[in-house]
Amino acid sequence: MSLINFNNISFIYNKKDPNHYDALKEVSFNIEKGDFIALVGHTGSGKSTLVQTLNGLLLPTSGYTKVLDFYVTGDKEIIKKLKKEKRLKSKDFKKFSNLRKEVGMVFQFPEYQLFSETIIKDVMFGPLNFGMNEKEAKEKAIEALNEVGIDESYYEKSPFEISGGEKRRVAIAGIIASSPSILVLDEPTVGLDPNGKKEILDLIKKIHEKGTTIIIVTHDMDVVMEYATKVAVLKDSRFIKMVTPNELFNSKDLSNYSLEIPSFYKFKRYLDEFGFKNDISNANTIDELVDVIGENYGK
Amino acid sequence: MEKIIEVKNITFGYEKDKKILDDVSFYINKGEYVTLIGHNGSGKSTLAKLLSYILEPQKGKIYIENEELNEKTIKDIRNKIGIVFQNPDNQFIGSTVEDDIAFGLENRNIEQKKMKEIVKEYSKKVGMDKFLTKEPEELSGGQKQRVAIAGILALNLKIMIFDEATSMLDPEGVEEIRNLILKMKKENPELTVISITHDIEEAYLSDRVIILNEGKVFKNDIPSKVFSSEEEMKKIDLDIPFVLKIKNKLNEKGIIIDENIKTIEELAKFICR
Amino acid sequence: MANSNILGKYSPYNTIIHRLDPRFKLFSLILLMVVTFLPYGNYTNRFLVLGFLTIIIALIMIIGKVSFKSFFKSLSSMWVMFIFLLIFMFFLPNEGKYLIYQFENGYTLYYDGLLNVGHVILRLILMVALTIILTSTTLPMDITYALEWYLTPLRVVKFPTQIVSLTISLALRFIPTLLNESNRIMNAQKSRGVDYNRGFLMSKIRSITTLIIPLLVSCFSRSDELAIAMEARGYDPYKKRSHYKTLHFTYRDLLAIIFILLVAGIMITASCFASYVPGFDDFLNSIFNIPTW
Repeated sequence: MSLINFNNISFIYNKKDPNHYDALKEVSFNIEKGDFIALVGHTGSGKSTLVQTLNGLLLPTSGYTKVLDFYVTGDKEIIKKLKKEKRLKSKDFKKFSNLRKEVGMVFQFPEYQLFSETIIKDVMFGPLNFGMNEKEAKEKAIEALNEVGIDESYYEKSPFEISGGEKRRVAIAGIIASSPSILVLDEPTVGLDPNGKKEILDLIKKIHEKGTTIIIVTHDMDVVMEYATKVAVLKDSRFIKMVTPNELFNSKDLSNYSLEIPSFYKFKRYLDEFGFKNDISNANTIDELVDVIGENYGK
Repeated sequence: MEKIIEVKNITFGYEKDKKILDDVSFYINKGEYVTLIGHNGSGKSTLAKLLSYILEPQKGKIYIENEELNEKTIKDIRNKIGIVFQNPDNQFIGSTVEDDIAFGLENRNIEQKKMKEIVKEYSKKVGMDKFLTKEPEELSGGQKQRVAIAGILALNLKIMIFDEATSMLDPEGVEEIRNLILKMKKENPELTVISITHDIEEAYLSDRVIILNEGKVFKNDIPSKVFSSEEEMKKIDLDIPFVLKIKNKLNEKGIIIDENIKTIEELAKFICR
Repeated sequence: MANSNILGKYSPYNTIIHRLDPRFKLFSLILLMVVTFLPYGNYTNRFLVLGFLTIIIALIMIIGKVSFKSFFKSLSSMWVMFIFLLIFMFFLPNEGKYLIYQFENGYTLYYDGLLNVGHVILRLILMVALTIILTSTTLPMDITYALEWYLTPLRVVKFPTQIVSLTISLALRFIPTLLNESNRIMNAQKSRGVDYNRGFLMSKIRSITTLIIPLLVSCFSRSDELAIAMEARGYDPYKKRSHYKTLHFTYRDLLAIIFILLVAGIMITASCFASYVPGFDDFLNSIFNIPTW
């Protein structure tokens, strides 16, 4: 059984409006426990819509998203069917708080979700909402703040007086404090400098290594190459394929998906295009590639 | 060479004993395209604010065309410097593309008929002439930044500052703006461009790179020299441009690549020759 | 994508109503609103005159391709008011001429109550219709220009018309941006277990603060950046600025003005003579007075 199963889902914005818009068309694929998935595709390809079905922020217009034992759908036919087959009740399709505890969601610029007087209170907010008591919530919050590298001296500070990078880490702590088994991140590194970016990504990697399934929506192909175990490609609201990063960047049809190609693969492509005589398909690092070029140059 | 901007011994700090910029000096020539790079906390965004007179230096002076930047001269200097900021939404003032391009012209009390012509001309230059009546919500980040650029180009200023103008854009947007800057420079070599950026690939394409580190000028030279040593860059946690990386590695193997080759495409072509 | 605006949203057609000068449209809106509130004597006259206006307004809506759907949608949010009116003007003890029923304890119900409610509701509907005609055929920016034009005379008393109109237009410009932003914040908080739909007063207030505080923080930083960007582009509130767009009054507007003045004229005349015309009230009398159980 897969951890997450997108089952033929479509999503239409403003369904009844004449200018309605299909954000997702018949998307089907699975995500396994422990994966680190990068979800890529051009702006408007449906990535953000897709991940919002994971915790019931959006309900698929048709088809369903199955996460753990939860079904997320707004399709009346399917609801009817599932009620019968799985003995589910109407409220199982309307109440998502149990699901939201399991699926942590980090949006773009997460620092804009901070609102409490102190950092510790803000991080405790999620766990408290999900039914933990004060003491448990505090323990969880401290654990999460440790994880993101926020020092104890910060706990009683206001979340509005710390730096931008720190705010972002506090916001992420606020989400992992509920110990979700799935963590979804929508462009978590936008607006950060290379160091800040690396800090956040290494943090996500650490969380992944502890067993959390990671789904990251990104435009940054370096992130895909360095961190993801698999890439899911969306284009024009449709699911195209799920492959390993290496397979994606070496594939011939890469340019069809309007993705930014990492410099290394771009270079390989140009070499092929201009008729480089030797086989470079096995060169997977800069050094290997330079070796091949060096051996054959001028001969 | 005529100096257009001169930064002399600038010191600045928000708190007393914590200097963000410490005795920084450099100059920029007329028509130059200079990129300013450095990490958050290196002082580069503070420098941008000083150059646009959002902040005032505590010590030292900034000269624009030999005129000292201060409260008295700032109105005059606004007619020389235009700035493209980081957040595409928060600098979109007009309710539509054409209104936004016209905003600076309205402030300079330009006659309406002339304004319409200018808006048409410059929207075309940035490739937004088909979107004149569009509202900001209907545009991508890259398109909004292009509108901001058109609004500044329309004023015919001598200096343009890009303050991390691409850091909130998707890769397509970054590429759009990178190319637009090069195109602008080609069409108007007199234009001085200062780009404050994280994008080392952009830096490689500029005329000169200034690296700030911990409030001081760490490097100030042409790109190929600035990035010549990978180890040195690693020390301040900066990478070096991809093309240069390959060039350096090939160099070690005794293969010399032409100095003028700057893009991946050119490099591949050169090798396959 | 959350663009449900109660008072209508601009719909980009190019009808004759769209092309009219916004200053004229604003003027007509106010004129016709005033006219609906004039006294028109007895019930028959009131409904006759307002009926006439309803037909005119409906015609304008059809010509201007105003969406009747969004019109009815905004009306549907008025049902609470309708119930209140019904309670106050009908069910609570009122005076009246046409009795429906008198209970033994002296409590009475009158047809007058119903007619009054109908009258008030009709006037409200007409107001909403007029507003929607304006907003759906006129760009918010053009309404601002029109406002600025009407405010111009106030410059004599040093009223900063330019600043006011720029402020309004900036506010309009940022509404969709802030709607998107609040959507994003709400999604983030929902993911942290906030339920904006459930709960009673206290918990509702608590969940709203999780939206309001971040939204305010973001608003402040935005306005900061916006002010800097405006200054950098040479904005000086006290300097004379030129205008990229100006409004033009054409023969079309002249014809429209004649038409609207004619309508208003008819209404005003009707109002002046209302008390002299017996109308069908006697006829109504004969209908409603029959049942005096």
